[in-house]
Amino acid sequence: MSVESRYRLLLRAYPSAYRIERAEEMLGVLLATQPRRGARSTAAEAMSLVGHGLVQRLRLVRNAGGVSTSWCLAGLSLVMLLMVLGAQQLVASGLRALGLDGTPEAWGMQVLWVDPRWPVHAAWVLTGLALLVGCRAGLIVALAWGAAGLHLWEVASIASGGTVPWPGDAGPHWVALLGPTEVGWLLLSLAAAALLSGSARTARARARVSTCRWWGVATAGLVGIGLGQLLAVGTYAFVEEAAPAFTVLLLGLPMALAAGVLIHGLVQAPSDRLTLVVLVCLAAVPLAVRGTRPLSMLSVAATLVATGWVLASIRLVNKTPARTVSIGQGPEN
Amino acid sequence: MQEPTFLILSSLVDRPRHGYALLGEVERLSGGRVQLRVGTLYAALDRLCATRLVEIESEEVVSGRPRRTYRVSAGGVQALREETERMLDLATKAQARLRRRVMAVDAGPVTGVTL
Repeated sequence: MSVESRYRLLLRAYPSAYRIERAEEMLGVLLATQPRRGARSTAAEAMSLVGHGLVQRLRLVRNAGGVSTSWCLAGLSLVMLLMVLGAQQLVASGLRALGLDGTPEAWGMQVLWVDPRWPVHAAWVLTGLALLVGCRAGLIVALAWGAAGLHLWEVASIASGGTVPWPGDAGPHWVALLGPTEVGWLLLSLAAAALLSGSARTARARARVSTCRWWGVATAGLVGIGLGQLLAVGTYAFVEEAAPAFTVLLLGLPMALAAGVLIHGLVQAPSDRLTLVVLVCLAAVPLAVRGTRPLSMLSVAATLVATGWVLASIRLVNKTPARTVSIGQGPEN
Repeated sequence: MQEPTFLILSSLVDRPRHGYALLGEVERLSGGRVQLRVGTLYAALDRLCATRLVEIESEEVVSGRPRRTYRVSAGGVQALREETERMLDLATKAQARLRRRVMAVDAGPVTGVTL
């Protein structure tokens, strides 16, 4: 490999915009000083180039607010997801309480059997609402961690077989079992809270996306899930043997919605690779909970909603001129 | 101010220079002690341009490659002046203390040792 091509390879450590401006000039100086240099000096030069190149890349990322804000945006969309699903569970309980769930035989008892996870659902609904009405970022982060903490408490209670008391257990309730589904949900809760990474980042991330978008996503999710819920109830009412598969299909309405958003987002989004990696990993959690239970299907649908939304918002984020590097003008922050 | 920055500003004070000439001048100024790496040089130049202490005077093509000539700005001269005074002040104080130490040892307890 010639000396020049070796230096060109080393210069690739610098970001491409920087290279366009500087690479030829630096190459000229490198080749001019080459004859005077010994082997040790060349190695030191190589390390210096790579090191400074990486520093330039980090500076780009920091100035664009790219990586960290993307993670935060993913967290915010997860919060929306959990809000929508929490609302769905609460609505389902409400329908049951009113005797409208369409399966009188199963729920003929006068006593209302409560989903013991209702505090967690309520907490996430509260967090999502805080985001929608534009509360302070610090409050949103606090609520998110509160909800995740509640979820952890609930799972601990289940895991300990009831030794750890749990407020949702007051009154007649279902017995929740600790299975992959529960663990999956807990991981999502913790991930949502952790991704927010503090109130400063949350405030910045939220500022990049208009509140209308959040409201739009929440509405789409809630409408989709509400419709699915009501249609399931209707199915039970009018069809003698409600095939579980059919009910699952109805709950697939939000899935259809989410797929549309996802495809739209993928077509438009430039590569924001790290955000994609985050979302793929998060999507794998509920997918790993394989089973025919409607809840698993629902988790897939909801994750797709969150994925599609964040991908769609990437397009909005990259519209702001934050990624260009101009040499000679300092980073203005 | 870091040492490369100081040396680059000092090299540019008397006349504008391009990258390769800067390397040579810095080495000469430091008496062969400091041999700047190209990466370090350009990182420092970027910083100096960003804070407007150094400006690009001209750009020409030499052997098919662009070559930019850099010159120090008025702000750069001022910054260098302030830094030089600061270093001079510190160096003078340190020198005075060293002299006092030598004298104190000279006039110290009877040891029979003369310096």
